[in-house]
Amino acid sequence: MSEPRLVEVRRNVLKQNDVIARALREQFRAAGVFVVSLVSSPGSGKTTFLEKTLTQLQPRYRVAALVGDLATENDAVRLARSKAPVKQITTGTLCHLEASMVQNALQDWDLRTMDFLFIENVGNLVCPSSYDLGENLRLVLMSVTEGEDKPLKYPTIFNSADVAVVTKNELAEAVEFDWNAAQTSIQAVRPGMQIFRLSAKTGQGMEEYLGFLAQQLAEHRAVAHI
Amino acid sequence: MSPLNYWGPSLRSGSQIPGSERLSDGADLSRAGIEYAEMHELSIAMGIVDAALDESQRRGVEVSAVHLRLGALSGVVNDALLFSYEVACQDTPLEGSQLIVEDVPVVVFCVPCNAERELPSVQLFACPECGTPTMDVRRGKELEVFALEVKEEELQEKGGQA
Repeated sequence: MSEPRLVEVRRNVLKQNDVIARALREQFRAAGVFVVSLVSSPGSGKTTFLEKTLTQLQPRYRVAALVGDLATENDAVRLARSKAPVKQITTGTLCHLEASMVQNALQDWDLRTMDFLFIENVGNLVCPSSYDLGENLRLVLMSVTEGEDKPLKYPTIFNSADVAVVTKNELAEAVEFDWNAAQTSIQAVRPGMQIFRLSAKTGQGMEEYLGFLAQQLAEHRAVAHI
Repeated sequence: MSPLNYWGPSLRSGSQIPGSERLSDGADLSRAGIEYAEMHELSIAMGIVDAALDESQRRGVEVSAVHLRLGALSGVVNDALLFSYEVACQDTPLEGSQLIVEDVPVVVFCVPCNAERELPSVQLFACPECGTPTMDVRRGKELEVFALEVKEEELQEKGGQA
């Protein structure tokens, strides 16, 4: 047996994804579109939340959405009710979106015709955290029915997010949701993160969150000199 | 219906993971018991194998082990990765090679302490000494093939030929 020798190589495993994500981010900047990605558990109400977001932004903004889903196109069908352009990315067996999938899906879309582009990731709080999609804002969504300690169970994805939304607030009382405990656990894994508490169903709290998005778009364009 | 039941079977019909052609015709994933939870790690494992193969072919060496730095914030689970690595190596020159994982803890910079601090847990982003919350992460996101163990014989042979 010969002795093994160590050769230093230093290769970032996700380099290919990161390179594409960087190119996407530059494309988004040049087009002046603000891109928001959504991550959450399955069943947290992501599609309803996105449908309401698209519908309520529409009178003032040009919006579009890419939806990642494993097999079905149900989400895209539901979101199409908002009348916004929606495209499905069927990931097949893959539990997350990668930058190349976003790039492929956007090939025949003119980004300059959009103010906001939403990318709904596959319902999963583990896998999407490693993959940069070139988004300007990563929004993590959790519902009051999931429990206040969700952020402590999935610290990596909460840590990688820029803003948190706690939804299904209309059920908060019924499930004895402890708002202070939820805030504490979010702040523990991601200090300083802004949190919105709302109900996509009743519309309560949506205004403040949509105002935040509008402000983000304005700042994005000011920096991008659009 | 649990996600495992729903997503598991579709795996056998092929995969859309970029560069994953080996999956559909090579490795028998159903036999390997791959389920939804491992999929992300499988995708990462194939990235590791691709990177290691590329480097080894460029150097003309045979690899016996791949050394990986894995940050606590990389979003990758060590055990699932080790298992997936074996699957990803099947039918490649790396088959039978070892994946050696060096776990990298999260290191943050604390302004009041003016020092780098290692976090004991990823559940609390605060300085373990003074308690000040911080998001200034200096280490812990690594997902990097940093070294290959190559067989010395191979090197000498190549050297002799050159």
